[in-house]
Amino acid sequence: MPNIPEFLKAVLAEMKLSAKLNWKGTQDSTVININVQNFNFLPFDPEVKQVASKLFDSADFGFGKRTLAPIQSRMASPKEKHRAIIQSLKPYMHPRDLNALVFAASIILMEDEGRDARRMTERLVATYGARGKKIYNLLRSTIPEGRTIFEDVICPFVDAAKVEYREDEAKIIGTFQVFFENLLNYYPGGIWLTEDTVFKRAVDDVKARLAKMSGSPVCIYSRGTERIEIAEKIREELIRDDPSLESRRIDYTLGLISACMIILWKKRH
Amino acid sequence: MEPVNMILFKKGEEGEVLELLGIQMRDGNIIDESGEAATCYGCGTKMTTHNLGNVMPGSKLIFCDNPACFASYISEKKL
Repeated sequence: MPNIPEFLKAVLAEMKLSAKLNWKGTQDSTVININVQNFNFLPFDPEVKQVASKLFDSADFGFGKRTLAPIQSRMASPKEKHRAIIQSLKPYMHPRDLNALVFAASIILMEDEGRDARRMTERLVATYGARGKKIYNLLRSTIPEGRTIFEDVICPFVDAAKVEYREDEAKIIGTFQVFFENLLNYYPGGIWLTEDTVFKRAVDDVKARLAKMSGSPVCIYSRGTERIEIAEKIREELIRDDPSLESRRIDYTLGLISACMIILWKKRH
Repeated sequence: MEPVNMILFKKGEEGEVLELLGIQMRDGNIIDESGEAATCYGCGTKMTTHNLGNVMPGSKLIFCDNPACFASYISEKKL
């Protein structure tokens, strides 16, 4: 049941609207259940219309477009892990980056539920550009043992900065934002295979990154059997072209789907 | 997180919602309390009936229909 505040229960009971909560509706022939503990929904039907302005003024009700409601429910209910990351970075991260992070978390939630999040991903890129996609990749891609770069690198950095600079909030924010910027700049070292990835372009991308990274490793991330096979073919092609390359493959699971990270680097002479 | 209470409107009902809230319209644009064209709290785009996504409770904060803008509310106010 949604977590309905006591004052609201009384108002809804008075208006005889209690039974309308826990909205269940149809949209494009799909039944949608919205029963998220963070949301109390009412339909904008004749009964509600009569008291809508009172609900807005006295009972803290807002208005929302019905088609957006399922997505927004997910945004307000990130996984515990993501919630903890967002909360710990909120005081230090640039607001726009934080918004992109919340957006990325909701996309990941949709993907892990097996829902099509391609339109959401397009909106992420349209709104936040390549930076938004990088933030998504940082949150999505895991390093061994299923932990994300946020959990193992970014949040611990904030903790260390807090110890180092204690009361100096401005110093912590400044240090963190420089670090986060550097991390995002480093991230071109990785490419993520999608269903739109063109094999030849991916090979060229990795080559360019290997040249740019001057000795640092470059990763190919893939999710799903088919894309993992493509990642392997990219590795073979790259090593055929440049036998001095070294590589290592790490397998793991993302959501319920197998995934892998292939790391390539140039041998140092 | 405190629960968010929402009344869900369908496409085509935006005008009715704005009228109920006493929010003015001018040349298809939504007008804020100072008489200026209202903008989305998230992205700053001009608000019209076509791109109206949410009017948040208690504040008359208006968002367009890009879910990324709602993310700004969640990250700023709720999480």
